[in-house]
Amino acid sequence: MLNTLTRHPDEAAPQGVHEPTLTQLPAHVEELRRTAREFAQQRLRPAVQRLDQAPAADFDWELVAEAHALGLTRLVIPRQLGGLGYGELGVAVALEELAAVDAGFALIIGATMLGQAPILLSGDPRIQSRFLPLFAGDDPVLACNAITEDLAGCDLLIPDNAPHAVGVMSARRDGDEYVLSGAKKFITNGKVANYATTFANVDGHGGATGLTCFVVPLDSPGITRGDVADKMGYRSCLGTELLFDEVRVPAENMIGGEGGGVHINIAQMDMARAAVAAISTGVARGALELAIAWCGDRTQGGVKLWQHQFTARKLAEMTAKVDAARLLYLKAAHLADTEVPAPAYEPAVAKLFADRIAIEVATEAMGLMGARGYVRDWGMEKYVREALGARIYEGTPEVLALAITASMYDEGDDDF
Amino acid sequence: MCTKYDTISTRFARDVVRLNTGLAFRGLPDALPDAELLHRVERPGGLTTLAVRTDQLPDRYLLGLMGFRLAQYLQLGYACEQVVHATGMFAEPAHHLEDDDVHVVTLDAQGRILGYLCLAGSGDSRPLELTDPARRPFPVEVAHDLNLFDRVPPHEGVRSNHVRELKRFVHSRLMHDKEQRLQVTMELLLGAGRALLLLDPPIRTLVGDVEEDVALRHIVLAGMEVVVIEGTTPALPYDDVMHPLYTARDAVKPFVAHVPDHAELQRRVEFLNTALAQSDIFATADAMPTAMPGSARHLAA
Repeated sequence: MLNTLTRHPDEAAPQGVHEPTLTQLPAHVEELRRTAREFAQQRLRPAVQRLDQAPAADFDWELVAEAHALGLTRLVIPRQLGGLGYGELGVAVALEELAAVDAGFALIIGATMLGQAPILLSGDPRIQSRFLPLFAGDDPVLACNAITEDLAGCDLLIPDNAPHAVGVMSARRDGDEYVLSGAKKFITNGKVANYATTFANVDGHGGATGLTCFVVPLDSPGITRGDVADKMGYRSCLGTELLFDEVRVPAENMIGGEGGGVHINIAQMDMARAAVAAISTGVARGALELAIAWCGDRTQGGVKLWQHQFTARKLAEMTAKVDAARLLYLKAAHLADTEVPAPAYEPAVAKLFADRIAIEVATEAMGLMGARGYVRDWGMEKYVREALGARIYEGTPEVLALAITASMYDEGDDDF
Repeated sequence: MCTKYDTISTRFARDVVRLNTGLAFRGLPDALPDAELLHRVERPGGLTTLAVRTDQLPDRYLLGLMGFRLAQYLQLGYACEQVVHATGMFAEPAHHLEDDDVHVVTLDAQGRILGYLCLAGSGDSRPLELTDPARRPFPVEVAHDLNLFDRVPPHEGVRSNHVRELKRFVHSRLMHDKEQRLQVTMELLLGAGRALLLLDPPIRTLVGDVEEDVALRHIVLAGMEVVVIEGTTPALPYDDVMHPLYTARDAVKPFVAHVPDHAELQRRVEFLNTALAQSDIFATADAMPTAMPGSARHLAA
């Protein structure tokens, strides 16, 4: 039986007391890594092939319930609200472990945290009290973050693009409520989440210049959960359209005030990118581990594959890339935990690098396994498919490059 | 502080009730150290009752119990919606709990809380005479502004660590079935009885406050000899979330109840345990006044 995560009150010390060093993580983060690894290896791994090859809309609530029981859905929720009080560092470490086995499952957990992030960032105890203790019960609960739309993807991420956004979900004030209308697309967990932190443009503001964040329970009248996207990877998590038809939301569900959505969005991205970089690192590591096992087992020309100089060079390059990606995301996560607001540069660099090396490592690993790398039974081709996924969400390489260069040229006011 | 028609506070309170009503804690029994529990019984059909000290409860489950308490009191109108909203409260504050407070809780098969009561300790760092001015007053004494034991002399040798306050004897408002409601009441009484048997030092006196027609009936049903004190004017400060306890209810009277001696308490607990295993819960309730007679005596102002 896996141990449920708990943290002794004595461990709830200020971050400074438990700062990671270059070679060692804090004890409670190591404990979390062990728990996540055991869950991933013992419970998730046997289900990976089934989850990957099932129809697009299939969802394994039993595995989610197990992860929830371990505390993985409430990692970032403060202890006083029933959570475990981990920061981004813990989250990122846990997601690498999950993604090394199944990136889709890691994203179920990551998307839930993204749904929690605006509520945490609000600093408003009332809205935190209404939504975050949901995760403290024994029934599994998931959340999601609803930004992307059919005509507006990066236009909702890049502040300078906001005036040019078209067709954005609208929010109309009506007494002490807002009325939301429009559609969100490719929303991870949208099919299964309890609520969505939803971004809509308040009427009277052009494009997305009035972007505002609302917490919307997904059982609200007027919401329809659409079809599940049939994706090439990340198949254990569900990406869904969410349709809002005159959905009435109490004004107290607004986070950050009218027009504050852009700042909430930037802040949550800067927090989340280290975690997504960890997912890509996990994908690369999973592929690398398979390749190492294969090259240590397979004999050609009378010697093991790894003893061939060309293969050795490839394995060495691959492991260096994974280690480098991990160091970058650990640094970014640590800074996201200790700087207010979280920096833009380090998380963007970490994600840009990890997303790229995941593709390089997975592709190289597939090549090392030859035909077995290309067939489904061995699991390698799944890593290749999933390595491509992280380039799409939480900032494409192009968006990340703009964020990085804006920091380089000190145009930090609108970091994204 | 508590005024009607404050829409935003009412909405917040409604959300807090909905939040807590939706939470299930089926993992609670397995999360507790079985050997150290004061009481644990599982009935066919999945009803489970536990008696557990505060310091045995994982934080998350303690919050769940405190959330249940608040949700029930909000629904009864005994918790102030404005204070709950102003402070962003979703559970009763746990900081005033003592490590050795006993929580008796009944869960259904899905882990939803159906009933709860608390046996709160004195909070004194060392046992004190009950008439000692240095003794920390029980919350009921604070609300009614009196030392209960000035009115009802304590039994020989009873000190503050032999006294518990019975608090928050509540049922889930989701329960509409009379039979289930009665069973939960009796399961809670059994759990409390077992806790009283096992606590060290032994508990010899219970205190609290009650409405005549509600909780007093349960305490007498449990076979206690209750002394009810008349003529007090209880109140809590307006910024106390529970201040409607004394404005929204009919006369609420403090009481002192002497716990039967160990052998008699044991006999009563066994009676309840055996009776609860029977199928006819109403017959059990009918038999209780004879098997475990209780009484209520009123002490004039």
